[in-house]
Amino acid sequence: MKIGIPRALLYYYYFPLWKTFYEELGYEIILSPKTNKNILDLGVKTCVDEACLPIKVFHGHVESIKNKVDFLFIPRNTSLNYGEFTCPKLCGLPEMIKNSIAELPLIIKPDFNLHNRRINLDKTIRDMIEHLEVDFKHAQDAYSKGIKRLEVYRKNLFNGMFPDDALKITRENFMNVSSYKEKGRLLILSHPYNLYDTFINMNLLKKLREMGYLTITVDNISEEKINYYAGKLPKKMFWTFGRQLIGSGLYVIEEKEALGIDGVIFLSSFACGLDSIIADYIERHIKRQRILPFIQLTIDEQTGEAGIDTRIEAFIEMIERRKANDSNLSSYGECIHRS
Amino acid sequence: MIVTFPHMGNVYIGAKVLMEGLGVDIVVPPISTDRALEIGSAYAPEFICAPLKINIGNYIESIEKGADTILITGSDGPCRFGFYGIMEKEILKDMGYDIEFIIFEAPEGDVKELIRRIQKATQTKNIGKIAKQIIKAQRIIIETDALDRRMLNIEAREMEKGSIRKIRKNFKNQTRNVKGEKELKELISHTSNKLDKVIINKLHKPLKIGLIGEIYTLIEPYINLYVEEKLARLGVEVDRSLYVGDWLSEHLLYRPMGLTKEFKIRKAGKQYLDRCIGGHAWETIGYAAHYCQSGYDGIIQLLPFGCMPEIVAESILPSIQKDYNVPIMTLVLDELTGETGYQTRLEAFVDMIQRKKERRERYNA
Repeated sequence: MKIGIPRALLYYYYFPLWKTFYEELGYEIILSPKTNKNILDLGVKTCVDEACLPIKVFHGHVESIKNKVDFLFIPRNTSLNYGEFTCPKLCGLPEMIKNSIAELPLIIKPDFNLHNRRINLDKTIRDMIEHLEVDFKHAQDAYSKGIKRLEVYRKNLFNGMFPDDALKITRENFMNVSSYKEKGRLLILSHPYNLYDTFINMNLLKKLREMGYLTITVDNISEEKINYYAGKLPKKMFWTFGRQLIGSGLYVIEEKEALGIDGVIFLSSFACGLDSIIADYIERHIKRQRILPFIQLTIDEQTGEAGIDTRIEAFIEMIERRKANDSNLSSYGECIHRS
Repeated sequence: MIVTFPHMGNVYIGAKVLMEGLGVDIVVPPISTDRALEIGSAYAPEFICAPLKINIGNYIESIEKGADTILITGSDGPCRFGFYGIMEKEILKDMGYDIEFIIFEAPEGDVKELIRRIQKATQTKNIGKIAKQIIKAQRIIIETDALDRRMLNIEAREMEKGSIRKIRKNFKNQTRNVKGEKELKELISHTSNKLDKVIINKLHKPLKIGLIGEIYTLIEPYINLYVEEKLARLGVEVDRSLYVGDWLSEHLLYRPMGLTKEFKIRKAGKQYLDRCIGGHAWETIGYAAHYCQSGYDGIIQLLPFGCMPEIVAESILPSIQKDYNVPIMTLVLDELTGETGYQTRLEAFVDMIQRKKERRERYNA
């Protein structure tokens, strides 16, 4: 029996859990190929026009594996944390897929909902084995094994690994950061599905590392710092990714000297609802203090790399010139040269 | 303290009754116009939904008239509306206005804080007095909604085209000038009398179209380019799924007690979407199925560009359309919507359902 998992959206956040769970129960996992032009085109064709890029890519991944598998795993991630939500499109993902793509195999659509004080984990596990002939006790064991595996994966991401490498390793591993000849450090803010899908973000992280810049992402920043700075918002941030992004953004603004951050890149997809609030909030705070270069890169269905390359290069060049001028050349607004 | 608030359909009438009754100075923002939207689009983030852009425009126009405190409601996600208050404050701060915001919500379930905020906005500690005034305001809103419904119903059937339009325009202009609950009630009954005198073409059997979608674009006539009037002028009877009054009584009265008036609606759309995913996606799907079941000829969904819950609803609607064989059209609205293209689409849609209906009648006969 084969279970198909689309390599999109929260794959980069949860895959070790899903993989360990089903392999532990003796099922074969079929993963869709890495995003490519064909998948993107399929997604654009099947999805509604107004949806954002990651959702379209998810549609493409489903379309590309639906004929090769017996079951299709489409999680409904309503909430990843207490009192928080994800984007409404993730909450309604199974419905979107079911009504836009024809001839689907049986869908496994567990509801991951940690929003309330009381979490019904048993129900989630029962949903995960809904169409499968599996003993519930066995499934519970597999789930806890999966959670352990997921923790190791998250730690590896925290230590600076990319998901592709982190998925291959089963124990915690410290990456040798000093092997990079580091010209500077950049904070890359983005949702995991934009950040780690190397096709849709045109390999942004690798490009920056090749230019000699160490990239720091939300996954490299400790949860305590994120929560402390996100708590400074006048209202509780009710999106998990929003809390992480705003928390790390404000953290970097406040403690930029200690972290040695030279600039912030916000990678968002066209018409992303969450980013319209998050990116704008961070940008306003950076602008007011005029201390950090900030750029917002927007990605969509277009695959021309030259435009995004030019913008990255210009941004890096500006940072370098700013450094050469002893940080006194403002990247924004009035000149604050004081000599 | 001079308070103001953003426009949303008939909300301003209720706010007037509530605040004037309690003796609070209030500035009703000028009716949303292109100027308001232009101000909003210039200063708001690019991809934020259109309601926030118009809100900013409303605030600025009110501030020009002397307002210094803004009232707005809040929510707890997952829709973006929950962050409107915070974002709008930031935007106004960057524009150079230091304005106080009072956000009506219970932060993390803290009801006492909500009561404190209401007391602050109304400048009285007397909860009984506030509650009494809220009930009065709510009644006026419901009466105005009923009047709106009646006008739409008659407009599709009127003998002399344009007579309802004149009455409506008159009514909207006068509501801004009258003071207090009593005068408003008189105005409503006066307008109601005028409606009685409109001559109706009883032979005309109009097409029926249901309007579904995001609440702001449904209720605020400026952002939806007066879609109801446009359709009524094409001789179509329109039913709108959400009204301010119903929404308020649902969320202020029924939901806190764990009840809902929308049980029937939820049941109708159960097989398509069985949970709340934020915004009004649930209601949109429910009402779509409900309209299909009650024999409507067509359905139009309205959403502001980028509205997350409505995009989910939009991708479910084709299944409902297929199952019930009722045409559904989606109109996306933002600051770039052109009126001519919009009118053309509405006319084409009405023509199509008209022909569909005729064909069905001929084959059945």
